[in-house]
Amino acid sequence: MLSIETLQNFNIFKYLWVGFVIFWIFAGWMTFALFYHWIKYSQLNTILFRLFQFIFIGGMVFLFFLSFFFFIKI
Amino acid sequence: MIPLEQGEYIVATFRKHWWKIFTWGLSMTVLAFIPIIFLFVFIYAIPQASLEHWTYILGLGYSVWLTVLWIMFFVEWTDFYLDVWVVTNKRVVDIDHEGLFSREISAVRLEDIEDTTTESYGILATFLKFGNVFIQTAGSRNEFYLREANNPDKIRQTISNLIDTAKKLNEHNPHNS
Repeated sequence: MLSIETLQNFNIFKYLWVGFVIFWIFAGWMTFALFYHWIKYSQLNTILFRLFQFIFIGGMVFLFFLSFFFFIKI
Repeated sequence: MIPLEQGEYIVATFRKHWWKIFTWGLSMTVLAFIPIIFLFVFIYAIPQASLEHWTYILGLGYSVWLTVLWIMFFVEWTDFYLDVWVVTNKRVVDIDHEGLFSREISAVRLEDIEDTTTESYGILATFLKFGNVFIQTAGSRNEFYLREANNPDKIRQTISNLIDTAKKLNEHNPHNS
């Protein structure tokens, strides 16, 4: 039975990892989708494409480690 | 990218103006700084508030926020880069991306083009040379458009020159279609 006490004792931080995993599945999917497009359409096989690909992946790796660092510290 | 016919070659590819992706990048940058501004305002407004226990939660939230913005920018960039008009010596191919995994490709033969119109409004469009290009055609899809195109006058000129060349070729060789 759901009571006020149950709600008061509910610790949202205990379940934060669920949101974190869902978010990273989404981020992983988006990364895949972008790569799929960039590789499929070979017109992007240019220096500009390589540069943006490098920046995008570099940024994603950095942000992943950043969020993971904060996550394990909680 | 697109299969070409025999004797067909790409003359030019046209994209939207860089201003569009620049403004998008600028808005993403502003959005990235908004949580920091809010945090400073909060600390300034309530100096006795302690954020000691919230450091990592806020850090996690902010890194997730940055990741979302990062992905949004690159989705927009992909859309910008793949929205392209490929002008060949026989056709104009319009590749239109409407988000990831939504794609529309239309082609119009040069002899079916009835009219090419360009329009540009505003100071920025005039100085940075961007605007809309419309092609009126006799085909089933009777209008092609490229919004915020880079150098619309050059696009119109290129297409007009190609139409003239194709007409001259057809006059000299009526069996060549």
